[in-house]
Amino acid sequence: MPETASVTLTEFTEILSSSAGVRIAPDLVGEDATFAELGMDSLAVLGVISAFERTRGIILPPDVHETESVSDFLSLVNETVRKAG
Amino acid sequence: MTSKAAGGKAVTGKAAGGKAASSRAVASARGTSDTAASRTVVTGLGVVAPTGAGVSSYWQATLAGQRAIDRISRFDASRYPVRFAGEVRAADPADQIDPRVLVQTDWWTHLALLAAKEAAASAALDAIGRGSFDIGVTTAAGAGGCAFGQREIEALWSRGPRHVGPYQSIAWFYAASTGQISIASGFRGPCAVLSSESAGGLDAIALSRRAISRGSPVQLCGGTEAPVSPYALVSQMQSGLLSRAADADSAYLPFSASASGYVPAEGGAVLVLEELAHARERGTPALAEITGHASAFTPGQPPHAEDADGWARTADSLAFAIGAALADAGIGPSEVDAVFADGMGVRNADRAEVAALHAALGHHSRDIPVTVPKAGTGRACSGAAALDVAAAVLALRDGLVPPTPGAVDLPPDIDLVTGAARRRPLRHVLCLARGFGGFASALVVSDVEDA
Repeated sequence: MPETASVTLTEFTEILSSSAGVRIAPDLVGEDATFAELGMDSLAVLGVISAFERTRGIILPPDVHETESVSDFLSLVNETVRKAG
Repeated sequence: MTSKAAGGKAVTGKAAGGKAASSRAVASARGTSDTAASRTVVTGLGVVAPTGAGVSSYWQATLAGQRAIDRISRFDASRYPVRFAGEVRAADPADQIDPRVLVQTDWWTHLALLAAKEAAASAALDAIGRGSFDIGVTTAAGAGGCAFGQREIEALWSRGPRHVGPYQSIAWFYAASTGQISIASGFRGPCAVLSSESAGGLDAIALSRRAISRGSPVQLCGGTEAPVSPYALVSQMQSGLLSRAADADSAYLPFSASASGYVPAEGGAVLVLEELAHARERGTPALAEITGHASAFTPGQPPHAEDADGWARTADSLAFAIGAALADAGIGPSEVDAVFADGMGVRNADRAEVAALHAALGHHSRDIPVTVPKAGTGRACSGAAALDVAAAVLALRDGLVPPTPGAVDLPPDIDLVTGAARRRPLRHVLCLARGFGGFASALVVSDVEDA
């Protein structure tokens, strides 16, 4: 059964660390942060997407690849999580 | 339509003719400038070896004849016929390499980045600055990122395609180390990667020397390897040349009557090569000069360990490479002061190497000190020869030929350095390497005259 709770910034930064090697404290991720500002290229974002899909048992919509900001990405993940639940 | 096509063809023909003529002109001009103007010196060194991470700890261990061949610890090898290897255990990339790079690369590339960092620092390349088109990178790779690739393929077959990470696409790949060194330091000069198995360490250095002769003033070159994982080990075992010895001390005994093959190893070296005038201009000391290189190839099925005639036939190409490398360096056999041999530790292959030395160097071959420092580390595919060249540079600097660790049952027909390092004035050192499949290369490293 997929987990239906919203993704927290803590969960997000743990996945950033394990799949992309980006180490940042949850409270330092700014409201309008982008993946590029976190030093992540497209392959790194791809790794984070598939890590969420694996750990949450979801499949994110194709336009997730277009998201540039962390908040847009998390909204899309949380929306997908809600629908799956 | 028909006439247009015909017209197009005619134009193409003319263009091709013109191109051929101009490339000949370029080739002959290049031939002159290669030999006349350009001299390639070593201005930096970086080493990661089982016997020491970092140039100074590696060199101290090498002079002392230390050995770091041990039971394989990277995975449970108890049920494999090959149980010993040289592993790089002292290096810790976590505190020196960007964690974003660590997750997307294999241990082999971690080692390359560590060696490149040390080499670049020792040659003061920071002063040239990031983004320079004057610095290129040329590494050799034989095994690639086997351990990373195996982990991802295991995930694919046990858990499915969604469990394969995106970095599989770049981490296993032979060009990964060249690319990551270039990206990490912003070196944007000519870059290349070379695969000629264990001969690659010498060939990559030669390719860098050629890039320098063509106008790229600085090159990082060499190679590291990390083929100690189940997939990498099984791939190497197919050659039949790996030792199945039951104890570490007898697992790799180059030139010994009781040799039983060789052991795989991790590690390697990165050198900074530089055009002599460029090094002088920025006041960087030259440690040694790369003066000669040649490579040759023995076609056909590679001989198995017990095939004496097959190995004997490979002596020709190695002898040719030695002769051509000496000619490139402009020296004769009597001027070779030491040989860092390939020393495969396979009796027939060792005999072929001795035969090649005798054929190429004549009676001098009996008086020249021969050494195989990698008897202390194992053979790290292309990294092994890069490590030998680093050792040769340090030998020239110190006037010391390091010993062949653990040598027993010595051959009567070469002067193998054993026990302690031998003090001797050195001007020209010959490095030899053979790669599985038929590769044979020779490189001459010399002290820097008039520099």
